[in-house]
Amino acid sequence: MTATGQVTVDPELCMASGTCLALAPGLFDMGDDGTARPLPGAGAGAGELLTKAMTNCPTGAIRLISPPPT
Amino acid sequence: MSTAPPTTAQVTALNGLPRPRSSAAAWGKLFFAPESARRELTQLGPRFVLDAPFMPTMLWTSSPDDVRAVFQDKSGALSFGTALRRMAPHEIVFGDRIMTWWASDNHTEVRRSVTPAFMGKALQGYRPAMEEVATRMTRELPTGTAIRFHSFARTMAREVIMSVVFGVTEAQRRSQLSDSMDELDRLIGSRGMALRYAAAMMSRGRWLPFPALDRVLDDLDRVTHEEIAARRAAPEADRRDCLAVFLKIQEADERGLMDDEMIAGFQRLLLVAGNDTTAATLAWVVERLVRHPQVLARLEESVDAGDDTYLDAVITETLRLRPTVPFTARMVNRDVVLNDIYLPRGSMVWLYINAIHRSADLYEAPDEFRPERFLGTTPDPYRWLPFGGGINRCLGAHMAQFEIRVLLRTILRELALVPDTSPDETQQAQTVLLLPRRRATVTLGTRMDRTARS
Repeated sequence: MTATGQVTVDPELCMASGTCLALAPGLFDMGDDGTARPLPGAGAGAGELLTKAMTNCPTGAIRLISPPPT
Repeated sequence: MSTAPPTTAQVTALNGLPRPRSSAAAWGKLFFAPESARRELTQLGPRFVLDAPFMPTMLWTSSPDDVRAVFQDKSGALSFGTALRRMAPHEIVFGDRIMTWWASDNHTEVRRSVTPAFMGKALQGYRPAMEEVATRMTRELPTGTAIRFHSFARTMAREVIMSVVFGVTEAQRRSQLSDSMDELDRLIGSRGMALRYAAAMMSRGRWLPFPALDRVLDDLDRVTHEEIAARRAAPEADRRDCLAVFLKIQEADERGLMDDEMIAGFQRLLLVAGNDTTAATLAWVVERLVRHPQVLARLEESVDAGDDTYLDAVITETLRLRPTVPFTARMVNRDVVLNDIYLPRGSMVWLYINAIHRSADLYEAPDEFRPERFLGTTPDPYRWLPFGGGINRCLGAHMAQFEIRVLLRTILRELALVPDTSPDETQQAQTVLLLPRRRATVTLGTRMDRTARS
């Protein structure tokens, strides 16, 4: 089953390597300061691309927060 | 057969990997005959081991899985800063403070604080000055006669550094900066430097002091400090250069990471790291373009139409086929298993960029110049790594690509490149950079020539 949730990029950890933008271009965008920002909907039906971006981030700044069960 | 120790996983020791017949010869070739080194060494497979004189045991890899493991390393076992200290004159060129920072725990923190100077909004701010330099200088170029484009590209990149990085406009300071840059060039290419290089290799990374170099670096820092003082005395709100961005970062920085010394260090870093690499890539782009008239025609058309997509693909493809820095390395600080390879403390891992980019397993027709392969796609960071990767990815990568884009676009709008049927220029090593052997010898024409051609 694919997890769905909110994707966050920890601004304190992100060091603008650009890895997530390269691996998952539809999911992340780059802010003016160079740090990555999740695009709206990045966590919807989070699939292979998001997993790839999360596991490959050199500082582990990307997280998927699952919403509490309703 | 004796009883083997039980193993839980398949781990290979470095001595189980292939080696060239002579490590010393291969080591020399990697630096001085990069093309034949690549052809010969890739015959050994994606991984091989070198035991060269005065060097720690080196694992050389062109496997994207190994690249990923190195770039993702969060254990701290692999150090780029230590490898630089060991292999490159960074310590004497950039100063101990910058080097200490590079290998330290707050590397990421400081890096994050200066990153905005090399990204999005700041880059757009640098554009007018870059365009001004390119337009002014391109108009002075001779047409109808062969020129060495690399030397033009160097002068242009240098003007960009003066205007965009240092932002120095006052005449006396600008001439001081220009003199210091000349002197720095001279010293980096001097016999004194070569001697220190050799001594550092033989003493396993101890760099002898270089007082003449220290003096130039002090002069460069003085220019920065004077410029900072002038700006503080008479603030101008619309300054858009790296120094202005650094000063803004300093103002907003409550932790005091960016004092004036650190700013001066970064200016120097940009000067040394950003000038020759950018010029070399510009030269390679032009060398590739004149030998591929169809690519050139498509590029001219797209630039005229105001579309940068194809231009970006041309730059990406050039950086793949002719990376200016052919490898990157990490020092192994403690025993670690990289994928399935056991790396003992004190060994090194080298990512063989020049081989990865030309691997037939990773790219279709890898030796061909085909910018189309990068249209509509972002290069895979473990197969395309002209700027390295992971937490040590070149801080100026975006800025370099932005600058190359702006300069090329401006040149193509002003002039025509004349197609050339002579053989490809080969990669020639100059210090650690790979340059076109004939320094991108090309003939330029006017825009009228372009119309005549089509």
